[in-house]
Amino acid sequence: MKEYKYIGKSVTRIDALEKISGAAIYGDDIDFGANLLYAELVSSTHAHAIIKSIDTSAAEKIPGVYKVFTGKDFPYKFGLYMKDRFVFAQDKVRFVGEQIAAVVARSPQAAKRGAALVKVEYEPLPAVLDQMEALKSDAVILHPDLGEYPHVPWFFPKEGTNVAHWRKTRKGNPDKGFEQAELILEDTYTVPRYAHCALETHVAIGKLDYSGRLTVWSSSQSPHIQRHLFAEALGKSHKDVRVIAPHVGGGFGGKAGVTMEIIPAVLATKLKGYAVKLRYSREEEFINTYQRLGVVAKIKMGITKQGKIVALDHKLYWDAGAYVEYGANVVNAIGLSAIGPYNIENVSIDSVCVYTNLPPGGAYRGFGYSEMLFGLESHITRAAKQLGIDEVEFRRKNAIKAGDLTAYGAKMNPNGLHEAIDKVADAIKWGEPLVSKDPTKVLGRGFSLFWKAPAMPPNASSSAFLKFNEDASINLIISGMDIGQGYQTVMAQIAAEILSVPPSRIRVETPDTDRNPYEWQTVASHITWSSGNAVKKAALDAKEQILQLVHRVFYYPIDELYLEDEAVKCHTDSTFILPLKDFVVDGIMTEDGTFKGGPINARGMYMPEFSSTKGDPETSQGGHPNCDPTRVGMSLGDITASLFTAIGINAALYHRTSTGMGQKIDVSMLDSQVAILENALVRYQAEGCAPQPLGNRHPTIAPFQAYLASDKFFVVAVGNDNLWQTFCKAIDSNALLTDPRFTTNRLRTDNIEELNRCLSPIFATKSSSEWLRILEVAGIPCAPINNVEEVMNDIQILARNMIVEVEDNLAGSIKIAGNPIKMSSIPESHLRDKVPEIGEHNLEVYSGMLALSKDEILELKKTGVI
Amino acid sequence: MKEICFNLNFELRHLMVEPNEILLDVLRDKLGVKSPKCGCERGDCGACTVLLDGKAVRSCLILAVEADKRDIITVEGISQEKLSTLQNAFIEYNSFQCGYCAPGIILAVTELLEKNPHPNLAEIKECIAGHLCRCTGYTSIFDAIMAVSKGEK
Repeated sequence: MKEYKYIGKSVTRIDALEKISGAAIYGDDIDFGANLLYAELVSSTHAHAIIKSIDTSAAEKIPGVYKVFTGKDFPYKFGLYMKDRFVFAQDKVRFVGEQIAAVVARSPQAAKRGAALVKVEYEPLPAVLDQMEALKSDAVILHPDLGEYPHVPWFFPKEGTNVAHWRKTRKGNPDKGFEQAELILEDTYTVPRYAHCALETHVAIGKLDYSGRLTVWSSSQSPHIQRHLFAEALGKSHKDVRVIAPHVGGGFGGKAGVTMEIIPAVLATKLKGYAVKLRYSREEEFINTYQRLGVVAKIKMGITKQGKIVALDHKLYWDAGAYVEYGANVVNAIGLSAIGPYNIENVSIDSVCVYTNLPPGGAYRGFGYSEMLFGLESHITRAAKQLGIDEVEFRRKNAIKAGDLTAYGAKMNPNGLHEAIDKVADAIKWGEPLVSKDPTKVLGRGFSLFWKAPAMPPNASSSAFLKFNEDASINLIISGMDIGQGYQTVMAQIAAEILSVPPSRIRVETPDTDRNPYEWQTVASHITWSSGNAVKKAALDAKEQILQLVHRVFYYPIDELYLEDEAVKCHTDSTFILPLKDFVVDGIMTEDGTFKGGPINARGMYMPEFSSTKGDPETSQGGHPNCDPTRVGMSLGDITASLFTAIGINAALYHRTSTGMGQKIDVSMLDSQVAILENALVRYQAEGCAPQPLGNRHPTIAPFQAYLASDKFFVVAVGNDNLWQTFCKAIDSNALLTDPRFTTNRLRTDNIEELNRCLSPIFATKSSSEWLRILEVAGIPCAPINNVEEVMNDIQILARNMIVEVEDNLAGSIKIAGNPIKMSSIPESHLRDKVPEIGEHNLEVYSGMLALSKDEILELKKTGVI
Repeated sequence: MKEICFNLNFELRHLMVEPNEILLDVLRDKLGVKSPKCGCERGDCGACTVLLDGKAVRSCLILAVEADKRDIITVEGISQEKLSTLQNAFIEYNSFQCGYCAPGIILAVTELLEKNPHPNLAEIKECIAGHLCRCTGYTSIFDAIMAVSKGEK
């Protein structure tokens, strides 16, 4: 491994001095002067009720109370992944603690006194406080208008129920898998809700100045997401909304997204010129912020005697609370990954997000993975015990390796899991007896695997600005949050490594969305990777600017220049040492007194471009179109080159017949592959971007691809708009026929994802043979997807004499593919001539076709020609 | 309103307070001293700890009027010239993450070291038993204080 100077080394934290000297500023520490107002919330005392009336008159009379606001003042909806929340309850409350009104006053005491005097009249509704109860058919429905809520395309809410999202993942054939199993272990595991309990409670301050600009100071893991949601909810331009995020006194996921911060943001819009602060009490922290979702997990696992897990059925029912705008994504992540870090062929996962009359669930340390793995790993341990296999050995045997398929069909990356298992087992001396020296204590060892997988949108991005100061110290301007994990320090280490400037000479400040570049959020355990890549690119950008400038002035080739100890040096001239501080702002003076260069300001950006959320809702398969390049099933280059060569020979023979001239034919395998790119070259020119991997669908015709019927895949090719109309009638879908999104081939191709979302559930209702019959009768091009065994027994293929027999000295009689060129005057046989041995027919060829005499043949042999 | 005065970080301060105002709010909102943090407002978390006449107390449980004519030290007070040995040990041992609990713990241990320069681990644990830290798991905090106790710092 490369030897690093700063990365991997223990360096003093960038934020150490501030935090240890008392200088670090947290949200509640900021001074706002005399025009600061304090907000206090009036919270629901019912788990589920209709709000009949709100009387604010008594509160308004309290001295110091400035104004009282209710849901009427702010009918705004918001939410990160699903817009199912209001800033203040509108006609209904759905959990104890839900905000109904806010009293804004000159002092916190007056605000509290006022809030206590707001009278809310409720009409109680039955409440559902348990997700299993909420799933029952007679359960009270929390969100009757669920079907109308806008949400991200990878959520699948079930209107008319309490199911806000249902992530299904299916792989292989679980029924078959359980048949193979010699042990089937089934049980249920329950994990309750948790609260984050960051030491600093949630706090945010909003201010709308007289120019109309909204600024929110907020204790947050997600300043840019907050700005976006504020702008969206309030209908303001992003440039007029500014979020400043000072130090955060603990996050753990609880300060991700937006919870209470939107309240002071909207209150400020009606209090122009004032700053309005909302700081949660410890009690509010427990009742009205995100909590970890509770879960009931039902696991059924099938294992062979040898300890191979052959089937897993994992059903997780999540208590997601009254609003799931963030929590449903926890459910989604687990629904994709509840296979755990194992290679299991047959898998069925149902991760169900259920509304309950409890506080909203959200991100919490591990985003659902701890809860899911508690059940799964307990189950693994018990299964190993029942099988009499060592549990570490059992895990090692089933642990996922690079190249294995995850539950959602993506290939596993190289991951070091097996190495980690071995190292940990060694480190804790797994298997050796453990004896307690203290008679009052029992010692034990546990072993479990943990993985954390997809939890973010596929395009979550990071960016970084980096500027040099006059003394070659650096300001690294980034927008991730150091919530204690050491983010600022790690980013400084990365920049330091590339630029040879020690981390102690790099300043990293907490973000301000007006000045710092975009960052998605500090969540999902991704910030070192994502923001780190952006910082790396920014540092490389700065380095390139520096080396270019030195090259321009001193003419050393760029590849001979390098950075070391805050200076530019040269591999081929050890006398050349140019300290960075001499030129990174002021530039370099040349012989005639003019300067070259100028302040070094760099930037970097990172966005993953390789993942997708577009999986099949019924199976979660197919959500990775930007897959690795794949080898096509057969040797396409070899085959096409020989076919083109044969065509070339025919053409040359014809040319010889007509002109008497012979010629050389040059066919390359590479050229042959270019020749069969069909319309891809033209599409590239027309669309201006390179065609991407599409899986198994046609690039410009839709629907034209493989679809999954109730049993297996088959292919449909609806080649034009007439066929489309016939197709819709054949599958008995008037809705599709009249759907304006799909009337022309162009529209169908553009809306292919939506089209497939409509088609998948239809095709899932019948077997592939039933569909093929229906479509064939209607005249729609369609085909089964045969395996090789089916090909060899297919009556059409046999009737065409495409499977012929040939004798082989070694293998005996074997079947091979017949000749696909059927010629009317040349009869075919079911048998092929025996395959000759090497050189078996040489003599016949020499004396027959080449008409060589015996002497000539002997002469050629003598001279070693043959 | 009542007029009180006290020595805050070696400076005599005069001010008017309500009889029901807590010291934490007065320090933060009226005197601009921000290192004592509010975590629970009921004496559970220790984040608001200050030294009152050299003794670590929760400023959320002390009325401002009780501090009349007394000496108050916060982390700002002990950081004026240079960081203390204990503060440097906290930096070296990464005894903080989000930093919210650090001022309170530093003051509590400052008092301990004043009385007992070489506390053992049990005494250290006893001293910070009333201080919550959600990030570190406490081990790095114990390590830093033990290093000071052993004179390694």
